[in-house]
Amino acid sequence: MVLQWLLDHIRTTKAKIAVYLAPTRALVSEIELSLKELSRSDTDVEITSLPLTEVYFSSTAGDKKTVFVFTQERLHLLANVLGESFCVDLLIVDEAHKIGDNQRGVILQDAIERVSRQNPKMKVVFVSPSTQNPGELLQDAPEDMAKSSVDSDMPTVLQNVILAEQVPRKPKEWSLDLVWGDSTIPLGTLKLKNKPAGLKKRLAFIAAAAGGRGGTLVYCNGAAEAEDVALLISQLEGSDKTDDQELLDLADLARKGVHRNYQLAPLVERGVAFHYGNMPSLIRTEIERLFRNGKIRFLACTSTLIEGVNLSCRTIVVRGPRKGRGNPMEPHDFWNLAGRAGRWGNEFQGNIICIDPKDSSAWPVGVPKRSRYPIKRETDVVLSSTDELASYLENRNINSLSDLKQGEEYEQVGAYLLNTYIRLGTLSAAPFAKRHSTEALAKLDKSLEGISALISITQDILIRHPGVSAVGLQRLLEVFREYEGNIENLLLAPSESVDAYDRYVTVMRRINEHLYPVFLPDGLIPLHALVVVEWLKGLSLAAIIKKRIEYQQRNNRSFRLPLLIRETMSMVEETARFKAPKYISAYMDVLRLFLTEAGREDLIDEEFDIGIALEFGVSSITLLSLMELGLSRMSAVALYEKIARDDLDKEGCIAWINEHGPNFAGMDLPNLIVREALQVSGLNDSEVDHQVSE
Amino acid sequence: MPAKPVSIGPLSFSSKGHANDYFKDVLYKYDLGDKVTDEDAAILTHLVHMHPEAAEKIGAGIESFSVRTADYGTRCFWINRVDATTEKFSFRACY
Repeated sequence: MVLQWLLDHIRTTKAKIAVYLAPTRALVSEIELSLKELSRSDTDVEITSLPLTEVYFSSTAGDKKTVFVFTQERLHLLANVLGESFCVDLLIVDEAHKIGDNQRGVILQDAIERVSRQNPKMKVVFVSPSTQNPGELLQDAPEDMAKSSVDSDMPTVLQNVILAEQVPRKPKEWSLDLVWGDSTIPLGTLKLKNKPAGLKKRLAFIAAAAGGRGGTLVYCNGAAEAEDVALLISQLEGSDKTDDQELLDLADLARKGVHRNYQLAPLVERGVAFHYGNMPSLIRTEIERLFRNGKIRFLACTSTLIEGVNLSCRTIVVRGPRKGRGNPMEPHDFWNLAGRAGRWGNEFQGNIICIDPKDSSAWPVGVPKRSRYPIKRETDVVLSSTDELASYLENRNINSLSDLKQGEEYEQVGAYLLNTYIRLGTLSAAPFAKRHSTEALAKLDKSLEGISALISITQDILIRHPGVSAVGLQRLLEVFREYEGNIENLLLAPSESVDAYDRYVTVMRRINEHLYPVFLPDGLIPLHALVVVEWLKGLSLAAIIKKRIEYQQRNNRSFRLPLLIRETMSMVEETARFKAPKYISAYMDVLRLFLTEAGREDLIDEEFDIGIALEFGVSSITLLSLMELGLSRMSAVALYEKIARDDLDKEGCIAWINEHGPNFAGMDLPNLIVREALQVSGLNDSEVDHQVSE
Repeated sequence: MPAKPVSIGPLSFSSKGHANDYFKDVLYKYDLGDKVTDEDAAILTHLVHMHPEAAEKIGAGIESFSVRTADYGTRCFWINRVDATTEKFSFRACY
């Protein structure tokens, strides 16, 4: 509904540039796909998830309109490249309650404030599910702007909460009771074929017995558990080996795109899958699609699903849900998850099966009652612990950063406040000031006054790096100034260069020591650096995994394959695509400042944007062109392995695909990748749906 | 048996052990990936000419020296050649 409104609005008004913000790359792909489908016939509206200036300028200069679908980080990337000239007419913030997120909430808030400062007339729409206080989000809008909040929390489907408890002395029999108001109605007994020894088996067997019709989500606490539970379900009756081509294609992609023994492949062949955050997008979106169309009958999922994937189901099976590591799920998170039940196909009711509802280790406060989200900005939450925050700020310029305490809680907001203070001269002039006491603001002003006096880093650099502390940046500048060796030794090397790995090791150490301890533990820096360099080189995930396995084998170290695969995926997502672009691009900006100061502008490479290169994991023009065409990185990398030239533009890539498309069968490319490639080149558009890039 | 003195260009050491200590210090005073200073490069040039496979190591000619890892493990001196290729060498093998 919001998407249709967005398209209608941009078509019928003068608005040219719209940005749709979604909190995860997964959701970005999903929204991009839906928008492309909705606007299929419309050639005047371009939809993209890549932060490319060329698209922006073609829109502002001509008649075309553009919808950018971004994460908050990508919005900053585009704003960094465009600088002052960046002007957004319409901003939609989806899952707006994420502004309370501990790490990235501040980056989101900063992104919204940044674009609204550049265009005070910008229209903003916040969308957030089951929210208690939607008006909260409008508080910081400029005074003279019209604002209103629309509340529409009508449950459109019937959701049955069903409690599953073991019948005394009979571990294979489970009674099911429907929650009805404050009492329950017995529904009958579920008979399991096997003894559910252990919690994973309990979850798997009950899910298999109760959700055999398909459309069944099984909520697991963590990726490892999801893999195990899916494996158990796949062995039970009804999960026979399939000959469905779409499932076989997905299994093939998992083997070729990740590893030939990746557990997902044999499971998918039996209509069972697992799903977690760090999986490559092409695989994850295909799992979601096949779950929606019923070919994957059981999906073992993790909290990634509540963090921003729209997936409905018929039945959810859950026991003692946790969010992240260990914390019991809050009622609103539980209901965000439970809300997925129903709306499956043409059905209007869904079941939520809660196992062991009386077990207090599984459900410390019982099965949560339906509730709504209270929205609270992370900045406001942190600001309210004034004393601790003030002392964190005063302490931020500590000698040894490894002694810095409570960085988890205060670093992001601390950086945000310091930048606000430097911009305005006092926190009391900031939009958020009205929500905090004058005393608290005065106290923080005082702490900030002390550290801001140390800062000579220019404001434009501070704005480009939200969440990175100005104190850290300043320290880095001092380190550069005091550096006695050859200045060239401070630079990074291009990923193809023989010394790239060593340079990244050194730069990451320098960042840990002077900017903020990011790449942890220190001893793993070589591994972080290796994965980052391989990612930048445009290596496929499968190749990165293979190299790690070879390394372990060469050094006679034992390893567990499923763990190694998951760790590599998470290193790619969290280090290479999140921490490295955030902090290494800040390092490069400070270095640029220093090189200018030192009269060594000759060493600055203006062409290369490390932030964009890391976000997309590309180092060649051909690879970036392939992704601009709309290919996922996985497909782009697989094709690039076959393309000789590294300087092809979009047209060049299409020409290559058109020339070589007929021979794809002989190149051993997974079918899903072939399909994506043929589709973007227009060779085979009628047969396949739109695919998206990530 | 008395220790055998080692001399490398302008430097002389009373034993291999002392030479080893000297080069280890040089190796570890740099960050990974750094190019060494001109002074150190001069000594390393003398050193690499004493390598039993000096001709192969030097190849097309020395452009500069770097400190980098060898096979993602230990630290090592590397010759950056004028033809943009690169080769590592062990200082212990040179004397």
